[in-house]
Amino acid sequence: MSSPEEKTLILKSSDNEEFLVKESVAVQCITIKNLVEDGCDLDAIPLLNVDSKNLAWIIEFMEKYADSTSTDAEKKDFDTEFVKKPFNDVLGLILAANYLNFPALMDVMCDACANEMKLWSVEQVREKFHIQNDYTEEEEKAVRAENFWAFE
Amino acid sequence: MSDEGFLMNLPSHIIVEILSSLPAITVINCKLVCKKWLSLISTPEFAKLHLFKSNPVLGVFQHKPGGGEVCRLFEFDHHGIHSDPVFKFEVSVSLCISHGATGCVGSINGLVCLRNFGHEYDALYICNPITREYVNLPFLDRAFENPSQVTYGFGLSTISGKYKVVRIFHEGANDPTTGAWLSISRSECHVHTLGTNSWRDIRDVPFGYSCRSVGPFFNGNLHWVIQDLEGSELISCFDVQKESFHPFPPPFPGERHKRSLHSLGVVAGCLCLCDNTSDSEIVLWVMKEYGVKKSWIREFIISKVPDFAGPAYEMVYALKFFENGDILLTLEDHCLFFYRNQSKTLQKVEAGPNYTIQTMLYVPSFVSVKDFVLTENVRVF
Repeated sequence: MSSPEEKTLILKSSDNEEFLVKESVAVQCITIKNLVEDGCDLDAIPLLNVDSKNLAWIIEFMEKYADSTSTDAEKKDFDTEFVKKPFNDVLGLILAANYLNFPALMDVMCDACANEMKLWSVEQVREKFHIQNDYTEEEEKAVRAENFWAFE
Repeated sequence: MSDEGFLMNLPSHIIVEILSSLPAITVINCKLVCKKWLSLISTPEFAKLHLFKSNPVLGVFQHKPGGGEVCRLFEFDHHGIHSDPVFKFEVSVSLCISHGATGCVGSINGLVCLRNFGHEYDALYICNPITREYVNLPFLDRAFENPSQVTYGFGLSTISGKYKVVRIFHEGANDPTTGAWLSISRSECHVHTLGTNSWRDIRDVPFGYSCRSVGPFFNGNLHWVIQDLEGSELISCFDVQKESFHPFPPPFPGERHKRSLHSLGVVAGCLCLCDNTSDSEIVLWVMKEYGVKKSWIREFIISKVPDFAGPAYEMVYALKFFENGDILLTLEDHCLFFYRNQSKTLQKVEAGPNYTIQTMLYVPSFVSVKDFVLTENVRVF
């Protein structure tokens, strides 16, 4: 007879890997919390938009944040190390956090993304986000002129 | 699975989540990335989310030698202030002010209320230095006679969402040595709601206000340290939504003081009173629970001697408490200084030529003045 805190869930990644997570930890993801509260009785919860690489990281993050013994300072140190990932992986975690509706992870990853972006030129931002510049030369000049003071 | 595939289809709301975490200057840089990003940044929804995440920066207004004022904005870090400003706002030049002195009445959500002390009239402005929009408030049809004291406050009515500027004006007799009110022959209070074209007369104004006092806005109210005619000090509280005054519990008992050297501010999410009356120490009171008299705690006592050639007859304003116990303060309109917790000393911040300064805490935002005022009345600099 297990108490609710000890109940374990099986989370299945998009590439069919299964992970065991305590329910009390997993419900930090509101998407999972809603499924549980709605009485989902599947053997494993399929997370169609999260691959095993991201799911492993997310579980690592969830477990740290669910741990009541970890102090704020420890969480901060954990965050600092956790976000040291290639930029594409940072974006991947943002998308996963959004899909799973996990605010704490979303905040940490968006901050990390923002911290990197602060140092980039406009061209670098385009490169990292794989964005095509769709401004004409005149249009770009006009936006620059309107905001000249920020580019000084 | 191609990494680039998913990146090229980042949903707009994710882009907004990321961009709203950026400091304002970086957001402006991102306007140039592509047209989609420009349009995402230009929405009121973006402004709201960005404001929510935006961290306060220090604004330092300085009078320039040739005339006029400039405001430099500095970011904080864990231990202090960055030495280089994140940007510079040419106050007088931008607002086309050619005479007098301009000071800050207050700042809320990225909007700044500025007062130009002209010859006979005051001119008031609301502007956002990030969006570069500003509006002139309508003139209040009143010439000031001597002695007179005018004080302003800038507040936000949290229920209606309207920004308001309050002007309190007294005429009467002051004690020449202490500056205390001896008698008040006339008191007036007017309120301007941003977006309207007039000031409304609010009849009931208790007590005497010092024209040098700044009224911090907190919890829906404006607060001023004031005196009654017996010379007792009190705190007056103006409910911005209801437009009414009521007394507010001060930390000190209502004794008669020779000079009012109490300043009010908002620090670390609490109302804070900085008492510089004593020759030997500065006392910082923090109201832990808003409105509850017993919750006023003497949080910090800063010894003035022997390190600091005393700010003996000046107002001191508390700006920020740092994690390491350091405190940032402003001495009247002279300079910034730190109380260093480790060494228990005061350290002046050298910030260039010592022209009169005024400081404010400013939260950079993209809140548009046009959201509150008819577009045709909004100017851009």
